[in-house]
Amino acid sequence: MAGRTASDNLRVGLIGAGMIAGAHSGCYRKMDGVTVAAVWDADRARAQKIAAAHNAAVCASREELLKACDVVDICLPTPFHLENIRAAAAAKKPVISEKPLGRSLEDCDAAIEACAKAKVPLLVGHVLRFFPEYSALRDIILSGRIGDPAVIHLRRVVCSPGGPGTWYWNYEASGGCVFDTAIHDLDWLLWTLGRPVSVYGLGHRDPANTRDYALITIQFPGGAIAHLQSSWAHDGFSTSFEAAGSEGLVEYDMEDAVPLKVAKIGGDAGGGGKVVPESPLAKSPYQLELEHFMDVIRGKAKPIITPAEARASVELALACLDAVAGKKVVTLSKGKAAPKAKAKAKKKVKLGAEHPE
Amino acid sequence: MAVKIAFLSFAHMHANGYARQMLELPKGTVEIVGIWDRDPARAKKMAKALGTKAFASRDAILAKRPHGAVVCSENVRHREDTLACAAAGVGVLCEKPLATTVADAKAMVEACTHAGVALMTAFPCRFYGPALRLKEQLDAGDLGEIVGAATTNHGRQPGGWFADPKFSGGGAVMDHTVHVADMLRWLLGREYTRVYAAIGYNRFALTKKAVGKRTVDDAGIVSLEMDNGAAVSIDCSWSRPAEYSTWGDVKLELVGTKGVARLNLFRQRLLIASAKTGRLQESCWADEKDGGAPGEFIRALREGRPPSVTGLDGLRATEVVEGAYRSAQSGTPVALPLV
Repeated sequence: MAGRTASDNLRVGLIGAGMIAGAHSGCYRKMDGVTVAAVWDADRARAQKIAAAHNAAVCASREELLKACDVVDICLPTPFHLENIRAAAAAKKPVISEKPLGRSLEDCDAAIEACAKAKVPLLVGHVLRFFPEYSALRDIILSGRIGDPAVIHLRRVVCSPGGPGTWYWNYEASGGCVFDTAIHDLDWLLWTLGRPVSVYGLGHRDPANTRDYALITIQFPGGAIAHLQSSWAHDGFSTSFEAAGSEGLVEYDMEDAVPLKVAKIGGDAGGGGKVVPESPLAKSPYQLELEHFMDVIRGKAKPIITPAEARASVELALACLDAVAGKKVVTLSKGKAAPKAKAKAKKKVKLGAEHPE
Repeated sequence: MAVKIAFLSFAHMHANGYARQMLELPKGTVEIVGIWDRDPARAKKMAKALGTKAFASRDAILAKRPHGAVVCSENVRHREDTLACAAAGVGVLCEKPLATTVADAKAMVEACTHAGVALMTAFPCRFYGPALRLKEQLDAGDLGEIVGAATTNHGRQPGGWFADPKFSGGGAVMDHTVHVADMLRWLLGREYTRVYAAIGYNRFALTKKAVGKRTVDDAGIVSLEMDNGAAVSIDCSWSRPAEYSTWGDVKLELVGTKGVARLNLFRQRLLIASAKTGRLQESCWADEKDGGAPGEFIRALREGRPPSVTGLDGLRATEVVEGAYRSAQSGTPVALPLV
């Protein structure tokens, strides 16, 4: 691209080569000024597959990876975030971490502290903020177009994300559908409505049969009520939302927002036609997110997601887990609202020179 | 011989629909003996529209010895009207909610049981084709055991006495929790063990317009546990603005150990954009089987058997409502049943 020099290039080191790394890998290929330079995964074959698409090095250790990159992108199960964030921060590398930031608040605090100390950005992948329908819903609510929000539904239902025995079904590791999946919606709620007053939840958990399900009610200081449907017990992936305000209503169902469906007569071998639904965008939300993170790392943008906000999402998700497990009301301490990204942008931040907080 | 039916009040406009459904049954099945209403003008108007007589008093119409009566008075008057029918030996089809308190519902069930007359709660949702089809598949075990249900019965602020708790007993939670609460008991064959509710008052502009200085609940998320541990939520909010395409919805998403079902009871619809209304509107062609709830009431009276939907069903739904209000008051879940 015009004006691009080798020194502008950011070399990404991917830690973990699973599902989300695959999504990130596809985005990096489309981005200017970013290359995937190194991949490290306990499963070398998996690392090789992603590395091959980028001509990247397959690393034998984290140390090797840290030497070969400018930015670390951690795409690992939640419990492994902290040690890798610490290692990256110690090597003065800006950190992109998949959500949730950590499985516990202690982990979150330690991760935030490590990055603050090393003065490197910590960017957590709450990608929902980059989904056009969700950012539009937030804009509509904040603009007052539907008046005072009264009842908000957020539904995120998925089939089992992994088979029995995978880390997803180790509750201590993943926190199940609420902690791993509904945290997207919880983060959106905090981003849009601020800190809630209380949480109530009911659910069903049967890891042996890869089923997890929860219904959560969240009440906000202004009287708004949010209802979340979170599931790892469905037959596919689907999201929908509805926001009813004093003066209007917004509704969205992913299944109605499919502009292209292609069906081949006769379909795959064996007969029946197969419909492939698509909702293409110029840039995927993941790409928008990663481009934003690179802008932050280059000092060109203020972070849309601060580490403190990522921590607040974990805190709320933990409250939801507590409520669902106990089928009870969990009252949230008044605390301070999740701090917004600070206004004073570092104007000329060199790569990794300063922590954005 | 035709089944003789009296109508006690058209305060709830569903009375009109019930009358029409009865008149559509095979000729000679039903004879509407007349209408009594606390509002004599309304009684006259509806009698004219339905080709029947207006009566000046409840005693006078009950003295005609009808087999059954349709009670569509304001919610808080269901008890009084039902008890009068029971005393006269007349069976009752009572509009939902059966009563505004569990104590009233219990008194009604006991009075009708004691008098040996039928008491049916009007829960029309049970009679729609898609609901019956879902019940068939649940009974066959196609979805396995149901472990969760996220549901809505949204509405638009109905105004009038509905928005005045003195007559309605409550707002959206009173009006729009019972349909789905009853459907789930029926579909799953399970009872509720606990209820928790988050309730909002005067949240919507249409409510503020309708209630003046009063307050009424118009937003609610009611959470329920069933006796198999299933998690249930019902959004009963009057959250549809005037500009929305229709009055509301009845939607259920059931999650079972073998599958998932999404029921949208009024999805059989057309979308109409018209300069005459200035907004997009829906026209629904969903229908009810065999004359719906009124058809079942008539058959039960003819056959001298209890109706498929009973007063106890109405009482159980009223328990959910009373429990929901209590829960919102205390901020904690409330154990069910209450009686």
